[in-house]
Amino acid sequence: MPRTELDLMQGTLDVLVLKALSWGQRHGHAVAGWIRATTDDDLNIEDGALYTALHRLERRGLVSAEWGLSDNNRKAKFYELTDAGRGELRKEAHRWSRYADAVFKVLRAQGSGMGR
Amino acid sequence: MARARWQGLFRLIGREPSVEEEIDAEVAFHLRTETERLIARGMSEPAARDETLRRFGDVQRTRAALARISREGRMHRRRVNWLTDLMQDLRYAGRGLRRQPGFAALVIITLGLGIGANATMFGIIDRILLRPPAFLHQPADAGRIYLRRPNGEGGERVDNNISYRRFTDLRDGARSLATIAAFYNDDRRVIGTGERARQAAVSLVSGTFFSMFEVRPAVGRFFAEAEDRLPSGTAVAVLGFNYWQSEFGGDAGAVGRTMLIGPRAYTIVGVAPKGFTGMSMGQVAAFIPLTAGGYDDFGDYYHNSGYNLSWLEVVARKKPELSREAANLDLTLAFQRGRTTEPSIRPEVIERSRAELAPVLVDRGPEPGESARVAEWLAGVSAVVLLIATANVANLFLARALKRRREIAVRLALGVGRRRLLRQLLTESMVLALLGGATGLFMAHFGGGVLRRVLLAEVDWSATPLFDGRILAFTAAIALLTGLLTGLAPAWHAGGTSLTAALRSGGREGSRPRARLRTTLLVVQAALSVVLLSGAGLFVKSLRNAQGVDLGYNHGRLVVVLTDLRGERLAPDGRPELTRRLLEQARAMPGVEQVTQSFGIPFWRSNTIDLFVPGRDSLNGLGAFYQNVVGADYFETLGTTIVRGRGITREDRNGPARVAVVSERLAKAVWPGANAVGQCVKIGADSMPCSEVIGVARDVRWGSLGDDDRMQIYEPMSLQDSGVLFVRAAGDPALLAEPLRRELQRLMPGAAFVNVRQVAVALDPVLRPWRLGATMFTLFGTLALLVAAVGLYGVIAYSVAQRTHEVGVRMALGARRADVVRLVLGEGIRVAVAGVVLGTLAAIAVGRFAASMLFGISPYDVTTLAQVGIVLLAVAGVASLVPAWRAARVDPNAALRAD
Repeated sequence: MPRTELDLMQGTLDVLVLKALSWGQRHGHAVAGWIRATTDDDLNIEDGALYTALHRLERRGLVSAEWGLSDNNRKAKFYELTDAGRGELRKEAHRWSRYADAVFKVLRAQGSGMGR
Repeated sequence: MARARWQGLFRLIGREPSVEEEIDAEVAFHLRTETERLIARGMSEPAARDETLRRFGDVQRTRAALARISREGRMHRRRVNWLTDLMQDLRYAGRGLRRQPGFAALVIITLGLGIGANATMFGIIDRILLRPPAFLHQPADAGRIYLRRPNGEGGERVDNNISYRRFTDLRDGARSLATIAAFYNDDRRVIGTGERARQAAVSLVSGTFFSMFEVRPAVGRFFAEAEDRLPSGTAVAVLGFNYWQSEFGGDAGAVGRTMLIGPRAYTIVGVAPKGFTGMSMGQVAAFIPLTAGGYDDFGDYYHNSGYNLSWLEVVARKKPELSREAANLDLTLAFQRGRTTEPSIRPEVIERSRAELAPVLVDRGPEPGESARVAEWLAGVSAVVLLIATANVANLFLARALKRRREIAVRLALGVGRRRLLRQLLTESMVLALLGGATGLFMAHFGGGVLRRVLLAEVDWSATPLFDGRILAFTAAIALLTGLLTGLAPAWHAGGTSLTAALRSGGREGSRPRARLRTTLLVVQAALSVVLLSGAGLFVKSLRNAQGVDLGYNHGRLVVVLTDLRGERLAPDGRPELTRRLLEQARAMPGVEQVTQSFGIPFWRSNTIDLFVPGRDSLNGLGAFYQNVVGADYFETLGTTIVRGRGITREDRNGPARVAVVSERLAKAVWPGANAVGQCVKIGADSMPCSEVIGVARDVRWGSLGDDDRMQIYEPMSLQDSGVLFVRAAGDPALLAEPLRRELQRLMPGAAFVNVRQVAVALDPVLRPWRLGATMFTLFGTLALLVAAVGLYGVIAYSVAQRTHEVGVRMALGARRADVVRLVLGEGIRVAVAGVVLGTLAAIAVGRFAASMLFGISPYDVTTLAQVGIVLLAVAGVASLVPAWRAARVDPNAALRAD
């Protein structure tokens, strides 16, 4: 994967993962499943990258983790948003929608716009 | 048992799973769940597995990335936790100590005393024993040259005083040295003129001296070998930095000026940099060429008198590629080659003569000075004081821990980890120890300065700060160590706390093993106190013995008058005329009983000489003969009894017959069984004419207090000879000294200088080791006893408080108050007896190391040991009496109703 794409991905992934956790505690597999389902698998994100993002967020204190039992009764690591994580999600979501709006404005623009 | 206890302390500390284990578990869960999901959707198992792995991406790389992130996170978390815990522990410790300010103060002061004593001692030892002279070039290759020669009795004589001739022998003969330099530190050379004239330290150094150091002059230049040439050198001087600052205001224009040093005008050629004192421990006012200074002092005698005048010390730096052994062998050969030219010396003596390059610091060499021994002993004593302080503080902590038994149990029950608890206890003791360390530094600052000046006066401390990095580091280290040791006692206790037992029981029943630990600590304290007090007793008695020793002359009333002509030229008969007038003037002074002349000065200056008796092969094997040249009435003035024959009179002075007086010891050694009076002895050389022995005088101790086998010969002094005047005062010699100096100074021509000193004062440094030992041991011993007594009182009082109930029962059952007192008193006395027994054994064990430092008393002196034992028992009795009395006043009714 080219480097620029990865850099772009990191910030994006973080938002996706935070969002995935905004409905409550989930383990890594559930996070991956939710993202895949929600995006119709269009982003084609490797699961390994998601785990890296989860751990990075944990390290930054945006999510907390603890071991528990999954639906099929296996030991799994569950992640949960912390208060800081919730704040970060809000901030990033805002930033992303402004960014996306701006890009859309450009793409939908009619004519050259030069001169009045 | 101890092991189980420590395991108990740590048993609840679970192992955290490793980062890799967690990651593997997490990834495995994902892969399994995903594969199962795909199979459930109808994929074949291999296809599902492949798809899962494809979607996951590079598993190894992900694992590595996850591991790195987790590890960082864990480390960070640990640091944060550690810090927050520490802050919490500190707050907790602070709260606890504020609640018990008395306890905190007692601990801090006790530790402060112990740590302060050690900080001071470290500063002293660092200066004397550890630090090489400032600026020394390649200290690892540098050394001081010592000569080892067989003495008459099959042993050897080691010394580092070397004659000029021997120095040139070694300088020209040794090939293993990069440089070799000789020096003589004269502490009292008169420098300056008129009102500014004063005695100051001047170093006479060979031209090679400065090449021993990596040093550049602050101003001007150093002198070179060309200016240090026989016979009288060039009169040039390099000033010491401080002298330059105080006398010349740091003016660079001082270079080129001349100043009077001793008898001659010297041209200042440079200034040494700040802190440079050459090979002297103290400040040096000026450095002058060895040949110039030697000539001023002795004329040509210093270089043409062969090996007689051993006034120099020699330092050298070996070539770095050679081993020390090779250098020593080379030096030895040069030494032996030189010895072949010495008169009347047997080949086997030459063969057994050795030279060696020993440590530069005298006190680390083969003949350490008195200050080294003093410093070592002080270090030992202060370490013992610290031990006692530590034991006492540990005991205080234990007592407190016992009181806090329930609190600790409650905290454990509430889920505080043992590890956290241990940390809290340690934090508390560390905080106290560090406060104690700060107090110690504070005490060292005030006490240490005084101690240094009083105890080791000859070392110049002005260049050494009371605190520097090394002292601070040392203090911090011992403070932390003490904190750890004292903290471990209650931690040990906490480790053994059984939750249920502590919670169930009231505070009443004492716990046996813990009482035993506290008692053991008390016994140790008592034993160490006994050791220190025994030292105190032995040194006090040594001092008394040393002060009372019969020197063979009446030193207490003697004043010595030294004259220094400083190059003033006298008429041909000026010298005897001046001496005659000085003698007359002194004799005429009120308060003067008698006056005489002498070359030797007790504990300061004496001379050895070869003696020959016609018809006898050699007297060499008998030992060293000391010579003194003395004036008329010498024996009367000094109060040395003439046992046989007569003393030296005015007529012997310039009379035609050569006469001599010998000491009893010499008479007995040279003419055993015969009458020495009337015998012939040749003084100095076999070719000299006979001197007739006219009298035998009592033995004197002249060089040291233990110097009781000295063989002494006295010859009459002519007025032409220069020596000192001995004046016997009718009353207190201290009152006579200054008027005498004023009167005699008036007779001196020009810049010439008179110096008056009491002989008893010269004896002070000789008595100092004992005075020092007596002071230090008494001081520290008393301190230790006090600390131990307080500790004993604390323990007994605590135990009485714990046993109020038991005492009540006993009294209700008919025990009398006396029985109760006996019971409690017995407890204290048992500790004291154990301490006395152990301490006495320890004192006997270390006694043999002290034997050489004692005077006229055995380290196993039964009286002293018994006295110390009695003192300790008495103090222990008093310390337990108060709680015993309190126990006896227990009201059985109240005691039984309570609880």
